[in-house]
Amino acid sequence: MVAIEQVERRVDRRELLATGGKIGLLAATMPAALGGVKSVAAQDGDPVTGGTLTLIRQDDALNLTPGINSGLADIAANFFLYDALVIKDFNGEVQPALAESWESSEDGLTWTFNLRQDVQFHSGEPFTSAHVVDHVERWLDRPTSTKLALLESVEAPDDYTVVFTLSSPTLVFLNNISQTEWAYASIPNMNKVAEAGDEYGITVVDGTGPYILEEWVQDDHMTLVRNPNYALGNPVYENNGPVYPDTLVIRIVPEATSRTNMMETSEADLNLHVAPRDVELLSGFGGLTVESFPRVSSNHIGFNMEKPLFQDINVRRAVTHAIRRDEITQFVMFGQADPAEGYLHPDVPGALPREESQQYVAYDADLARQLLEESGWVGDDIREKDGQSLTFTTYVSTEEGEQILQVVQDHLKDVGIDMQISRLDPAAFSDATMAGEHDARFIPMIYTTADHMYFFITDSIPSPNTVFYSNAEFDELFAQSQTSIDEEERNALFGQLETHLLDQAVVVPIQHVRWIFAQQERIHDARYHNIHGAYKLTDTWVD
Amino acid sequence: MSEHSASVRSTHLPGRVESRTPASPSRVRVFWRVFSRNQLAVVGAVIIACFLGVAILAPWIMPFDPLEQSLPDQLQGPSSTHWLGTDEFGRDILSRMIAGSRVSLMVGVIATGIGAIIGTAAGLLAGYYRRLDSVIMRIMDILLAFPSILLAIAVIAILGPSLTNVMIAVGIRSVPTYARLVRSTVLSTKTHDYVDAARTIGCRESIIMVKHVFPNCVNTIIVLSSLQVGDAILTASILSFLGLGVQPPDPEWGQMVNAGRGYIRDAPHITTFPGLALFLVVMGFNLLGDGLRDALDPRMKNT
Repeated sequence: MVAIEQVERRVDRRELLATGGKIGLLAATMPAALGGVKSVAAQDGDPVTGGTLTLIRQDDALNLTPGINSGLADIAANFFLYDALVIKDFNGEVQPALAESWESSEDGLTWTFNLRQDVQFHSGEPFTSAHVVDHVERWLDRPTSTKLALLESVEAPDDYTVVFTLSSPTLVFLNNISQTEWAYASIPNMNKVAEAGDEYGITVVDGTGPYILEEWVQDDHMTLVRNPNYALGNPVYENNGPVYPDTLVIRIVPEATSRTNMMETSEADLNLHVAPRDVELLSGFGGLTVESFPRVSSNHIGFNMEKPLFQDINVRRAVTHAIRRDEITQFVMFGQADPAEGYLHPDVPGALPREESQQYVAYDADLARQLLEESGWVGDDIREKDGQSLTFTTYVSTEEGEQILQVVQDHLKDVGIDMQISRLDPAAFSDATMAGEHDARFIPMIYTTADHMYFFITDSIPSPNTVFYSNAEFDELFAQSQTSIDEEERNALFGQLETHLLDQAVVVPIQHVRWIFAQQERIHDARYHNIHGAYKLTDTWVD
Repeated sequence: MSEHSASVRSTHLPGRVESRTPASPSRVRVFWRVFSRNQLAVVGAVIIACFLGVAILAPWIMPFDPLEQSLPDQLQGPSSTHWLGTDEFGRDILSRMIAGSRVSLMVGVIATGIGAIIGTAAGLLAGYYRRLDSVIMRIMDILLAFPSILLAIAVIAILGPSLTNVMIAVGIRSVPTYARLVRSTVLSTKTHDYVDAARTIGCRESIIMVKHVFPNCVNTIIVLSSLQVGDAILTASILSFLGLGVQPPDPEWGQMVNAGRGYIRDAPHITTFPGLALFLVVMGFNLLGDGLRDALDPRMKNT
């Protein structure tokens, strides 16, 4: 199970290249589209201060310095420890956090932020504009800096004002510096960063967030304690003061079965990675509730378009039409995923209406066979053409992905295609797909907006464009989507991009996965986010 | 090791060198008498025979296609239709185990064969030619310095995961064991008078090594091999358990145990039955090996 998150780490890193402000022009108010937020046990009486809240994750963070890497576990811990200038609420609207207000110039090139004057770091040092400027300047040297591609300069005219100057107007800027956009924009105490050097993010962490790092034993547990001076919150949380629990413990348990057992024995309060197969087991257990809700994601198989076999669109389309996605979501994911009826997650702005997109991915084995016959692939068992058999190898790096592919393998055999599966560890997977060794690859992908279709433009070869797709029309459409200032126009362009991907069968969408959390009855007022899961948990309290 | 050297000394008297026949009827009878008196060894032999029978007859006795998925039937417990239940893809576990028995036994035998051939050759050369001794045995020491499973994983990492590579990896892993044992037997054998006699009458060194020294190692190799097969099956299963061996959808016991791991709460039969099969077959080879050792050891013969 570890591997799944590891892949997501990788994918996530690529994804941010994709959504990165490289050419970004996204609506200033991020589309409120990413709604699907779950609120559990909304009102459970008056919050009680004290106690310990224990979370379990399947993998641990690598480094808690904001922006240094893009692992999901790093980002999750970051939300507890830090804040950024702005943050998105549960409806995707940008809200003030460390900045209490901001304005942009008429030409959209200058952004001025007025900072709160009452904020302290965990160490007691005051939060000032110098930390923001220093962090942003260092961020430019970090692997995640594509978010700042349009930044020309950042200055601090006084202790509580920060001015960003951009090289061209961009509406995606505010989104990219919000903490919600993968937490890179979280502001650490830069004095400590300078002092601690490489130790920062490992043994030294100093942020402004609701929790203070007390102890971190990597790959085992992280102990956080309440920040008594916290007064920010996410404006949509009820509680903008200090959090209720005294202690927050994040325990790392890679084995899904062990995580399930820990919930049953009440060793943990909240399991953030419930295996789909354990949902029924945990649901039936007294004192536990299981929450499952859509996560903005798309698992898909992508072809290596440079392989001769996949230069034939009929083969690509045949694969797409040969898969019974509902079988996968029902029997491999135990209902904890939604079959893909298009490429984009339906909650993402710009996603095609499903009635338009589903024709491209609908199961139709006869059509698949017919397409293969048209291209000269014939035979009763595994099809052949010019003495070559219709076979290819799909690379995958997760256990879940391998299970999904085993079902796909069976479906493809029905139409005469022999698909082999090769499971690699995440690092090898990343190297091999970038080098183009694969015939096809399977990835679970999470994203925030349709801007991540940067994955498939020519400039992104070989990474993140590991399908090696290069198409002038697609590139042009994508460029337009990034320079358009009109939200509706952008969405229409995203629809066209999705149509293009589906019509050309560059990718074979499989499913959209879900967040699955299990929680004990003793937890109250936990609200979850459809991109970031547990998010900041500032309302949550325990009995 | 020492007892095998001793056996050599007592059975091969100088006068018998040229006429020695390794399996004369009387010796077979003696072997059988000792072996059959050892009840555990017979149990081991019967277990192995059963598994061998299943493996050979696999295509005819499998009730279902081991690769045929039937997702609606997934994770069923044992029933009259599926005697040992179904796995997470609705495949029949009994059929998969029967198909897997071929893989496991084949890996066990071939890997042991690879180890035995290379190891015996290395041991013979090292023991017979003093010049090669330190070179060969230092290489063996290097191989022995790695924990054996780690060595196998390293070999797979270089060659890539596949059934053939598992056989090679597991085989290489047992090379030093053979080499050491054969070398020590050779060292003690070659000092015997009959070897000197052969040399005196003008036999070439290579002939002496192969025809007169090597036969004294055969008992040792047989006994070691019977113990090694079980070990090889287990190691191959560990590799498959780790995803380094047989690749899906082809069935293998270790891989089946791994696949069922996540379902152990709801469907323990997925892991239990292949695990049990592994246990039985490895135990079978160990019992058989012990029995063979006793029967082939001349000192036991007289008791």
